[in-house]
Amino acid sequence: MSLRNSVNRPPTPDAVEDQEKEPTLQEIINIKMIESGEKEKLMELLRERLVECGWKDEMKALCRAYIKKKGTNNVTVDDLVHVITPKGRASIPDSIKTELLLRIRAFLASAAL
Amino acid sequence: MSAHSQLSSHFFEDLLDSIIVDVASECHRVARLGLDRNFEEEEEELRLSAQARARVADSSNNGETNSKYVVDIFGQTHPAVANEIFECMNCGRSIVAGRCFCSSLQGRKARLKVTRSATAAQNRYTRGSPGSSYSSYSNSTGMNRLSNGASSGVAGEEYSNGSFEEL
Repeated sequence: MSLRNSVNRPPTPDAVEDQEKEPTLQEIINIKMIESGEKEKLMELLRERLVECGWKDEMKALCRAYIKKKGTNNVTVDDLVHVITPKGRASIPDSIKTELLLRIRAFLASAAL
Repeated sequence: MSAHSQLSSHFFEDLLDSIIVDVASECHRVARLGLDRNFEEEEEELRLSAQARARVADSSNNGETNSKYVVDIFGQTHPAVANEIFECMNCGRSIVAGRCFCSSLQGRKARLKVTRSATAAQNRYTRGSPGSSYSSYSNSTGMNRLSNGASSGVAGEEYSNGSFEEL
């Protein structure tokens, strides 16, 4: 007598497949940064620098211009993100980028990664 | 590029993307909630302030403005200069509002002081010697005398020769 499959369920994953899903180096670093609070500090530092240099005002102006052009009800957050991301990335002052990269590298070195 | 550099760049871009999303989200919220009603007014203000700056820069270059005073975007001078001319209620002279009021006001103050002291002196006299008399000041001579520094505001009689006797 054969047993009927009364429950449809996916097959139990093999143990081999689980071993391949180890966290990447990037994920490990990300977790360490979050746990140590360094990510929050870096975020605040970058935010502060971008406000000081007028970058944020520039991005807000771009957003306003786009909203005015398309109409308030026809714009989503995704649209705005897609509009300002290329310009935002390109207009970061080099000094700010350098400062942040140095901080990140210092963290990586201190975390012995 | 080394592994560390790549990782650093990757994390930097992650941070930047988060901030970009924050900015976009904030602008979207402001626009949808209608909190941006002052946007056109702000633009107008920015335009006017830029015009004012250009005007001041031009004026200073042309030397049109007084080096002592600067005119702001509201047309006010700094430090404040009162250019309007008024008529003094006391002596009836035309006087510029920004001028020191010392001569006129001091005289007026002195006259007030004299009047009050005279009243006090008169009261003393009437209590002490009923026969005494006092002539009040009504001309500017007395005021000028007093304005020369008699801050005590003493009262007295003015003799015909112009001398003043303190009582």
